[in-house]
Amino acid sequence: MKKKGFILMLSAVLSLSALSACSSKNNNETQPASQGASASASPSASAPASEAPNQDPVTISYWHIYTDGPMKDLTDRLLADFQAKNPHITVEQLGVNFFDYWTKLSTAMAAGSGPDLALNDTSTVPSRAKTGAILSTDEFIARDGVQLDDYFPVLVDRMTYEGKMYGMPNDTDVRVLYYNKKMFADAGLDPNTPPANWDELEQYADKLTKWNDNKMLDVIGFSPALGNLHFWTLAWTNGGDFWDDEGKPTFNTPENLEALQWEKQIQDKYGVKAMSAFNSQASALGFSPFIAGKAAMIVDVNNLYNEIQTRAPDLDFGVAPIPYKANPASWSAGFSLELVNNKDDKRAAAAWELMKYLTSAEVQVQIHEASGSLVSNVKAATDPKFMDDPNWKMIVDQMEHSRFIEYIEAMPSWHGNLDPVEQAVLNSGKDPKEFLDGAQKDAENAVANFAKTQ
Amino acid sequence: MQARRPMKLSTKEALNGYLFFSPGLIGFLVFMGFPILYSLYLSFTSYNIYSPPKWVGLLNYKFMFTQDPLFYKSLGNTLYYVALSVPLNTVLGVLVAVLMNQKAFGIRVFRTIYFLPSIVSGVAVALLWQWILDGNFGLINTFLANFGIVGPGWLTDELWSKPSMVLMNLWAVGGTMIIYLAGLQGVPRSLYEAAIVDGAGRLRQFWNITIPMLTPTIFFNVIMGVLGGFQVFIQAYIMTGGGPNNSTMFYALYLYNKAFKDLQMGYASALAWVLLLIAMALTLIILKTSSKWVYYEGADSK
Repeated sequence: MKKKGFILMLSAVLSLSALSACSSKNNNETQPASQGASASASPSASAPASEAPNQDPVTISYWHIYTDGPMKDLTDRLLADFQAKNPHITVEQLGVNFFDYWTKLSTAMAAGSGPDLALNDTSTVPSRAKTGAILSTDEFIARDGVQLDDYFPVLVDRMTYEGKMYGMPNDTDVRVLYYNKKMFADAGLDPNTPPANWDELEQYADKLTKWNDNKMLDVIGFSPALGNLHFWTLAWTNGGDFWDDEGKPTFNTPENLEALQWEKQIQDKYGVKAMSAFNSQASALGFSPFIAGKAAMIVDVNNLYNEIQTRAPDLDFGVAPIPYKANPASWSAGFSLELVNNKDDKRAAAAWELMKYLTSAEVQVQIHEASGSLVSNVKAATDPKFMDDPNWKMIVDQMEHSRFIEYIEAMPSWHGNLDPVEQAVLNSGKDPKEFLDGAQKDAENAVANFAKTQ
Repeated sequence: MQARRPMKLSTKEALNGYLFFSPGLIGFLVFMGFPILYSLYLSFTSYNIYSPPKWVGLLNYKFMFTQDPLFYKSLGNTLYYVALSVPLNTVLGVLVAVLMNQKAFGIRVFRTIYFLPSIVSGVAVALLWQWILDGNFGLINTFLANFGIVGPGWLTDELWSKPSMVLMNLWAVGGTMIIYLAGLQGVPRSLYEAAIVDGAGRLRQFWNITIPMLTPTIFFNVIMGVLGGFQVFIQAYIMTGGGPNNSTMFYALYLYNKAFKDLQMGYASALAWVLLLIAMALTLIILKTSSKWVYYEGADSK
């Protein structure tokens, strides 16, 4: 009888230890060679870089979103090349698909089992810099003589928090106006003079829209509901702003309201019924109506440019700045490379080497060639072999006027609250002022509530 | 030296039982019990995952009930979804199960076909339906166009987005159908024979024998359907991202956005607990009223 009890106890203990092994496996994978090096775990969030680069073997982990396609192959090649150039550094990479990446990364960082180098969202760098979750790269940049002028100024600006740089920009995007030159010619418009302001955009759109016999739309000249315009981008071209200098929301200023009302004015030409029938076709999987020849002009991300080259290389199209009323503007979002604060200086230094490598001009040229993305290194983006294409040159030039959404700690995804307002006005014909005022009130409440939690 | 008094048999058996049970119990406490209680604690804090949680008391709940219109909207959307999908699923499930209960040749093949959609993964289903529900390229509107009907933008129209999701959910009726089928097979044939002797037609047999005998199964599926309906997430996350003008912003999606996009984990935990209480309340209501309409064979009849 005693033996039976003993066996039961043993099996219970064994199964418990099997459970506990699950959680610590992750840590063991990334810490084999650096146990002795983390004696200097300093509480501040900057990485000391006073001594010369260490040549002891070190293993770092790099997380990214490239799980398939040309970027995955390129990443594998680049990491192999990097490890050949830096034999003492071993890189373990992990690619997670885009949908799951953000939750996985943030929970891993919170648990302290995050990677050493991580791809992350440029717009939210301040949230991680403030709490010390990522390390400042100022000292590395100074020590190695990295020229920040080589990168788009708006990107460097977004990644600076309290005067210090936190990581390096990896790539970005920008929105531009695409227009179908052939349709322009057919409608009697000059294919080399795209619309420059809102009035011209409206006039051109009227000439290019084609209705068929069933009162349904065959071709849409221009609709703010298609593509990737987004309300705030248009508001910015009217000189509108959504936040003032003190961090208070200014959603319903006259300029913003004017932009929303202009969108409604354009949309009303088509009507809710015809538009929603067209929309259900336009939101088809990964196939822009511009490529299908269903939209004559569209504001979209620079990725559309690559899609056109793949799917419809014969399309006669042009690229222009977004038509503006008050000042030129565009919206950019991007990826940053960040050093996660794992309290290990050796791994941080090695991860910096990888960061420097991935953001160098030669490598960024390769990244652009593989994925067509708008890389952050200006030298790479404006490489002569790319700039021969006038459309690409126009895209790169837009970075001069492009903005990121402001980072507001109380409402990090405040722009997400504006999409439903736009949809209500455009798809359901609701009143712009009413909904914009509602969004303003919600923003004020959120900011006030957040202040109470500090 | 006095020998230790041996354990009582009942105590020894209880101890053995607990030992067998301990891995499961400890697993539950560590992976479910502790996180659930921790989230209760978090719901009274402000926590943005990068800094330690900061105690704020009832602030999250106060904000939720007085200043958050999206809370009510998402709750309304979810209740709408549950109110529409559970009855439809029940009716359709029972009807299809009765159909599959016929002794026709090859009926097993049909049962399998009806069951298959319920085991396809959520993301694949969402992508598939995004294409079907999709205007001129999609199956539904192309089909309707044959009759001259212009289909609405199923997922891009505020009014049709939720019914489209209910329709998607109905496609997977095979899961509940299987359970109803099992329930049907448990109805004693003697009842049917007695009814036929009394001159009952097919419809009356269905209404007065099949349905009452199925009520335990219906009861189970209704509760499972309500609980599952409250957790609807994948379709909205993949296909509409909250939908035109927040019409498909379901409660679970709102919670997820608050937690991972806005990094307000404390508020999201409060949302989770409110959902738990609402779901528990609804389940209790169904339980309490069940004695009125659920008939258990062998139990004392009312």
